[in-house]
Amino acid sequence: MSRKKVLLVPLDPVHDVGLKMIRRGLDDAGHETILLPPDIPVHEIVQEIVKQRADTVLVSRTLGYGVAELLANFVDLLDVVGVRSRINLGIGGMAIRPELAAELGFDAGFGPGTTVEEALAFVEGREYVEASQKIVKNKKEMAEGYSYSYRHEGIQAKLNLIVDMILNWAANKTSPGVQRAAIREELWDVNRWRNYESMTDFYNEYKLYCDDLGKNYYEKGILHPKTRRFTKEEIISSEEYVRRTQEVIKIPKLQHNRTKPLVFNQYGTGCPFMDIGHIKVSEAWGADGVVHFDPSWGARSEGFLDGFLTHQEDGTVITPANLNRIKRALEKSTLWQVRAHRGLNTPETIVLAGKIGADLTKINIAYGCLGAGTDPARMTVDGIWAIRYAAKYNLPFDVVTNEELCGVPAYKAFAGMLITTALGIRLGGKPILQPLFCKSPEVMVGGQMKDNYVEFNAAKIMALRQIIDAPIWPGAPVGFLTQTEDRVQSSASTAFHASLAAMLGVDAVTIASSDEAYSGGPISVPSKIDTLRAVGEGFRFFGQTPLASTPQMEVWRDTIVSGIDSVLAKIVERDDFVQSLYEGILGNREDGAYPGRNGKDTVTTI
Amino acid sequence: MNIRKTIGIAGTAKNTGKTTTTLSLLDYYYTKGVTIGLTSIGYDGETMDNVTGLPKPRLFVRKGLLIVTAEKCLQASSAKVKILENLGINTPLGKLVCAVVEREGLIVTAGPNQSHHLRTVRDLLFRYGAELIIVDGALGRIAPMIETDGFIMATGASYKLDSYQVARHAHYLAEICNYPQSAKDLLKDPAWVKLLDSRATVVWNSLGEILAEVDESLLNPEQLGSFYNHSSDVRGLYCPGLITTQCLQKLGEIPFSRGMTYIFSDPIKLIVGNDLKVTHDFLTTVQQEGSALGYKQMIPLMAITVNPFYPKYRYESGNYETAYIDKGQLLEEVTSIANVPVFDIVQDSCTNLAKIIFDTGK
Repeated sequence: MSRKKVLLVPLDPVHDVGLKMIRRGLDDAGHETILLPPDIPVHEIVQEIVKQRADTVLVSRTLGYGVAELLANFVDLLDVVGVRSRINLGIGGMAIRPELAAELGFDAGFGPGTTVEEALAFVEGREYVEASQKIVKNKKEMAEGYSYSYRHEGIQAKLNLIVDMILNWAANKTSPGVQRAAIREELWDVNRWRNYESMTDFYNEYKLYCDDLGKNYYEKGILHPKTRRFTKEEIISSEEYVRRTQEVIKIPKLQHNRTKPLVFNQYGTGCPFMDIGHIKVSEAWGADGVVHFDPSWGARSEGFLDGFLTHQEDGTVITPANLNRIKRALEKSTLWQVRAHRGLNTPETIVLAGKIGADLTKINIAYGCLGAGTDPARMTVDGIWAIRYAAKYNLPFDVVTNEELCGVPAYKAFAGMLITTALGIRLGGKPILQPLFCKSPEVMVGGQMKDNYVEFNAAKIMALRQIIDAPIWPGAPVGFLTQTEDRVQSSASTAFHASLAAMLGVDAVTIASSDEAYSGGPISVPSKIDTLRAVGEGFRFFGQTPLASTPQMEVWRDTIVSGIDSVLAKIVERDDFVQSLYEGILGNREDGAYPGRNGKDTVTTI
Repeated sequence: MNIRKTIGIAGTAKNTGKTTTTLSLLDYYYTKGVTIGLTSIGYDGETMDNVTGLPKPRLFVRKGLLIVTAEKCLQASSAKVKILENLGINTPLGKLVCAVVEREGLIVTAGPNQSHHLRTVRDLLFRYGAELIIVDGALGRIAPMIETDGFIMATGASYKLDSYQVARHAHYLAEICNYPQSAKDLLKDPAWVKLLDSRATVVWNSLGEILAEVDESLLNPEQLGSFYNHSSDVRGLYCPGLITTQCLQKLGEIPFSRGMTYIFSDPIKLIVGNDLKVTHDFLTTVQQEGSALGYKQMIPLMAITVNPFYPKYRYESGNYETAYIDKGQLLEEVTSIANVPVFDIVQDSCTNLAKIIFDTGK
C-alpha cells in the first residue's frame, strides 16, 4: 500500500476533534497528514489542495444554515479547477450521512460514530464493509443445550407426584376441543387444503364438534359478525406488498455482541394484511420472532372458521388461510409463535400451527384457567393434549404466567408454570419458562419495586434457575404495567427491562410497542420501531456486562423458591390438581384469580 | 430525425423545483415515447429533505426508463429495475449501476457527482439507446453541467424571498450563459484556434502570437501581474480554467486596448463560486468598450423555472415549515428581465418547456 498525502480541512471553527483523532490513526498507519488551520476561506483551501497535490482531502464541518450550499460550492470549485477527479474527497461531522455526502458531491460521508478504521479504509482506497452487512440470521432453537434436569429435589419430587395425579385423572377424559384436534390431526391434510382439493370428509366430521359459530359457517357460510373476507383486489395488493418487501428487506441484529436474548414482538391488529406489514417492520428493525395474537372470542368459541378473514377489532382470527398467508410472508430467519394457551381451541391450535409450520407455541393450564377464563377441568384435559401435539410437531412452548397481572403472587404463578413445565417434560415436549418482568399488583402492594425494577425481576430468574435447568423467556411483554402513553417513557422502560433480561442471560424476551397499552386501536408502526430501536440501543449500551447479585435479590429468590415449594406441597396434599385450581391453591379470588367458566361441563368420560 | 441530447436541471438553491421539473419532463416524454436516460448529480427522490427535514416530491418512474444510480439507492426504491451494467464508479452510496425500469414505482437517484464521471455515464446511456438524457442537479452545484448540451435553471423563493432579487439573479445568469458567442467565430484567423488548446491562461497580439501566459485557473489577482507589461499590445485573452470574481475585477483594471477578444472556457467557469453581478458587469463593460466575448464551449441556459415555495425556519421550534411568496409577481418579474423562456412548472403544463429543450420528432 502506498503512502498517501492527506489534507485535513476543519471548515468548522470548533469541532475538529474528529479530524485530530483520524489524523493520529493516519499517522500511525504511515501516511503524511497536513492539518489546515480552521476557518480559512474556501478559495484558499482550493489553492492549498492544488499546491499540496494531496491524494485525499477530509473535510469536517457541522451542518447548519447555508453550510450545504457552501460545501456544494467548494466541491464545484474543485471540479472546475480540475483537481476533483484526482483526489479522494470525504466529509465528516454531526448530521453528515452518506446521502448528504452524495448530494453535496463528496466521495464519502462520515457521521457520528465513524471509526478511525473506516476513515483509514477510505484513504487507502479499500472497501470498508460495515459490520451490520455481514450478519446472516438463522433461526435459533431455544431449548437447545438445556437438560431439563431439576436442581431442587423437593420440588422435583412434588412435581412428579402432581404430574402422575394429572395424567391419571385425565386418562379416561375427553372434550370437544380434544375431538376437534384429533379430527384436524387425522383428516385435515395441509397439502390437499393448499391445493384447494375437496375436504368434505373433514368438514362433515369437524362441524359436529363446533358451537353455533362454527356450524353456521360450515353449513350456511355465515361469518362472525365482526369479520369479513378480503376482496380480490385486497388479496392481490397484499401479495404484491409481500413480494416487493421481500425483494428489498434486510434483517439486522439487535443483540450487539451477545447471542441472546432473542427479541420477540407481537402482532394482531385484526387485519392479517396489516399484521404482515407489522411483521415486515419488526423483521426489518431486528425482531427475531413474532407472536400471533387472536381475538378474545377465539378462546371462547368451539372450533375455527376458515378463509382469509379480517376482523374489525383487536386480535387476528386464527383460520388456516390467515395463518398460511402470514407464514408465507415471514422471512426464513423469523421465529413464529402461535399462541394456544388459554381457550377452547388450545390443542387444535397446536395441530394447525404445527401443520402450517409455526416454530413455537404457548401453553399454560394454570393461567388458562385462572387468568383467561377457561374451566379448569376442560383446560387440564385440553392442555395435556396440547402438550402432546406440541411434542409431536416439535413446537417448543412457553409457559406464560400472566395471572400475575390479575394479582396472583409470583410464587403461586410459578408453581402453576412449573406444573405445566413438568407435564411438558414428561410428555416429551420442550417447555420454556415465561416469568413476567412486570410491575404486578403483588409488588405494588408489597413494595418490592419501591426502589427499583431490577432486584425483584432478577430474583424471579434466579429462583427458577435454582429449581430447574430450562430455557427462560421473560415476557410477555417485558415491562408490563411500567409503560405509559408517553412513547419515550414506554420505549425507555422496555429497553431497560430487555437489557436487564439480557444481563441475566435469558434466552428471549417479548417486547411491546411503545403505544401498545394506549393505542386505542391498532398499534402503530412507528411505535414498533421505537421499542426495537430502544432495545437495540440498550443491548449496545450494556454489551456483555453481567448483572451482579445483591443480598436483596437472594432474599427474594429464596422466598419465591420456598413459596413455590409450599404451594406444590398443598396440591400434593389435596391430591387433586383440578380441584386445587377451583379452590384457589394456585391463585384465589383474593389474589384476583377466578376459575374460568368457558367450557364448563364439557369434559366427558370415554 | 431528432438529435440526441443531454439536458441538465440545475437549481439556484435547494427546494427550487428541480425534481418537480424532472418529473413533469419525464411524464411528458414518456407519453411521447422518447427513451429517456435519467441520472442525478445529487441525491433525489428522498422522502425528506436532508437539510430541512421537509417532505420532498418523490421521483416516480415508469417502465422503460434508463437510469444510472448508486447501488444502495435501489434498496430504497419501490420501482423494480433490471441492472444492465455496473459502472465501477464509487459513490458514498455504493457503486454506480445502469439499470432499466421494469415495473413503475418510486426511485431514489444518486449518480455521478464529478464532471468526468458524468461524461462516462452520458456515453453509456446513449449506448443503451437513450435519446434524451436528463441530469437532475444538486443543491447549488453547477460544475457537472459542463457535460450537458444546455441546462434549465430552477429558481425561486428558496433562493431569495425577494422576487426582484430572484429576477436579477436569473437575468445575470442568462446573460452570462447566453450572451457570449462561440469562440471560433471570434478568432481573426481560423488557424488561431490552436490558441484554445492552451492549458494556461494566455494573451496574444494582433498576429496571434502569445505574449504571456499564467496559470490555468485564475484564483488570485496577483497571478495577473505579468499581463500589465504587455497591456497595450494585447488583442486577445483565453482562460481555460476557473476565474474568480477578484481576478475578473482585476482583469477589468488592466489597461488593454479597445476591441479586445476575451475567450473563456465555458460559462460554468465564470459562475462557480462567483458574484454573478460582478461577472455580468464585467461582460457588459467590456462589450460596451467594443470588445468581443466568447466561450470555447457553449452551454446555453435554455429556460428558467420558478417556484414560489420556500422552507421557512421557525425559531421557536427550531425546524422548518412550508411557505410561499406571491407566485404571479415572481413569474412576472423573472420573465420581464431574464431574456430566456420562464415557466412556473407547478402551475403550467410542461409542454412548452419540453418543446424548447428537445425536438421529439414525434
